[in-house]
Amino acid sequence: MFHNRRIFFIAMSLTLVACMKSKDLTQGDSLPQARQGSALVSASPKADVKRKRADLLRNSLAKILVLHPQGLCLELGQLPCADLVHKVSLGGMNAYGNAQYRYPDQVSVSSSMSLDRLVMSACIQRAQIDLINPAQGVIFKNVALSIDGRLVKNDAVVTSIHTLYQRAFLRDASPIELDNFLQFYEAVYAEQPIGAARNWMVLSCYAVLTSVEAAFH
Amino acid sequence: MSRNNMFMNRRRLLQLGLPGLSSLLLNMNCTNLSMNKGAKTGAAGEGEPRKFLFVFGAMGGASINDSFLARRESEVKDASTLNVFPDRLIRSVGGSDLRAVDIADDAIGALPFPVKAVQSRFLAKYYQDIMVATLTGTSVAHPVAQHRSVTGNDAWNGRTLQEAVAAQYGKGLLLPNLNMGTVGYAEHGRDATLPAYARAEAVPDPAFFPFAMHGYKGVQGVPDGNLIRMARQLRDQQLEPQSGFYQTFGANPMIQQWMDYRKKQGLFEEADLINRLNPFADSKDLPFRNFGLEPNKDGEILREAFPDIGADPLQTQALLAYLSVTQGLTCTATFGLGMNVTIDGKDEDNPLLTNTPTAFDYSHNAHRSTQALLWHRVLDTLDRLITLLKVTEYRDGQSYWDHSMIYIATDFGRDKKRPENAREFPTGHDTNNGVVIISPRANGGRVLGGVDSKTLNTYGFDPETGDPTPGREMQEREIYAGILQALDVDTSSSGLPRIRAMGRKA
Repeated sequence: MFHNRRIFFIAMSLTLVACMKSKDLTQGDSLPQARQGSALVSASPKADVKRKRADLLRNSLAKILVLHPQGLCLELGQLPCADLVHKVSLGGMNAYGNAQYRYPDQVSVSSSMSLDRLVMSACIQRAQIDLINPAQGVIFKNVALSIDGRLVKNDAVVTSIHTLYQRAFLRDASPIELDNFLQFYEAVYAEQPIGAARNWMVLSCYAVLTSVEAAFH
Repeated sequence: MSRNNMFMNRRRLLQLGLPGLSSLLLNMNCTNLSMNKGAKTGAAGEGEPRKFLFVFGAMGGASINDSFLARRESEVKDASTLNVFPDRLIRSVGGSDLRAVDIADDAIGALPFPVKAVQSRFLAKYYQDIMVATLTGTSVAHPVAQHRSVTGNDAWNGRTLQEAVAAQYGKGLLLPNLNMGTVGYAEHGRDATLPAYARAEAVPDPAFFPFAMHGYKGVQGVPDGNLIRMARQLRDQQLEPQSGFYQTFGANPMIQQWMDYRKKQGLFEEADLINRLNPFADSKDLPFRNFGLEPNKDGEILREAFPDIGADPLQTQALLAYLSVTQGLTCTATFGLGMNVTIDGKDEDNPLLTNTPTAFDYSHNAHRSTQALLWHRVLDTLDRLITLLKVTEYRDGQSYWDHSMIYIATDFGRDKKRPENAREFPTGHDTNNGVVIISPRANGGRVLGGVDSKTLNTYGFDPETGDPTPGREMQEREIYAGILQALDVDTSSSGLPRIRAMGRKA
């Protein structure tokens, strides 16, 4: 099949690299790879997108962050956000409870606030779990903290941002995006040094997963 | 009584005679509550006073012949086969033509729940503000008829009453048009020229709605607000503009709308609506304080007025309607009966049905008891709402009620006939009916139009004087116009007819 051994070895090497990178991301389900970064692109004349509705948002977040869909966000620790409290605000339908037989045709004032709550709750959980066991971290894998709670800036920090983007959008963060997150940590630390690393994790996750790129498809 | 202690004073609430207020209130200090000063978000601001429209969706067909235009057997020739009542069951007050039916029954058709309906209390209390306008609709299909009841059958480019009121009075409010209705009452209008702010915010569950008024408060372990603001800036100003997705699809109208709403998010959060719109008590079941939330501090008196919030969706809706208006958030709120059965189970041995399956449309099975049960429920709920509005100051010594209108919208009427001398009977849909409007701004204490004693069909009225005009049928667009004009909504460019008779000064 291969014309010579050299090509065979190159092909094998690429496959192995791909497998290794994929393994980094697969604390949960495996996700396909996508092209790197984003250069400046031209606007779509149709700009035809759909919002992610409650069920899809819940399932996507659960998959990206490897959390249980039903435990992702619970108001007062007991009321499911996407399935009950914010279902319609997040674009869902409530036929039996409220005789609402059609999906909302537009976003509403409360939609972005409902999404914020859903994502914030999920990101807090993910950051807490990854902090407790960094070696098994899904997003913030091997991210280390200094004794006083600062972020230890090493490759794991960069990898975690790429991982977040890969799991959310199937692409790496661009160099500019990466730089934004590193600067963001400095800003978070300057604002509130105590718990800065943990807050940076939560808020980086929040900023990405509440963006329009995460809310629409 | 000085202005300072005239409003939202517990003793005053009792004087207004709201049933169910406990002796607890009598023993409490007569201190003004914060609600009379609470409208800081726009409603009580400077400039022209706003008007407030509450639309109550009487789902399924609330028959005017079973309430304010009921007829006594002695008044009708073919009494045995028309939907009329024994004389003793019908009350009148104040010399007006308005009627009330006080009736009791052991069951609602096959549903073994007792009914005790008292309409006369509401009539006696508010008859000077109650106006009935006769109407003949154009549809007997529920969703279509419901929508027409709020658009006047597309009388003004398809704009709903609520949208028209929100367009006139809602500018500057955070949520001008709050809609807790269902099916046709929840539909948006079709007017593409409507300002975006006047479009309704759908509220499927009023108990949960306050949670959606803040992006993070009440989420355990959340970073400080300043840090969240920084994260939002990172997202909005740096990440998104660089994103290939945004560069490609950012022009999509839904994304643009999303971003517009997102810009306003801080205003909702600063207004602390997640707490101010929450009337529930902190408890073991609802541990708000454990999550850093502080429910409305006047919740105790609100729960006195609406003691069944939470369990009773209608009371919960009515209270959110009250709160959203008096907290300066909203100028029109829609709520009403749902399709689902609700039961008051406080007395486990004697549960009471509070909503029939499909609400008024259960008249297909048992007309008289369904109408009795649900008219009672509608009026009881509105009584509680009006009572609170009356004791809450809007501005310049006037209450919110002085600037409010309640429109009981319904799908259509019901058949006028019954099997000979039947006490209970099924009915179908009938376009002929009438609507109830309760407001100090309406031509209260009056029936506009009348009832044909031979058929029980309603007939119309002179749009200028309100005088009965047998042979004339009032159209949906005329009622629509009259409601808006009574609320001083500018309809000059709408092409709507002038219905002066429905305003207070007529």
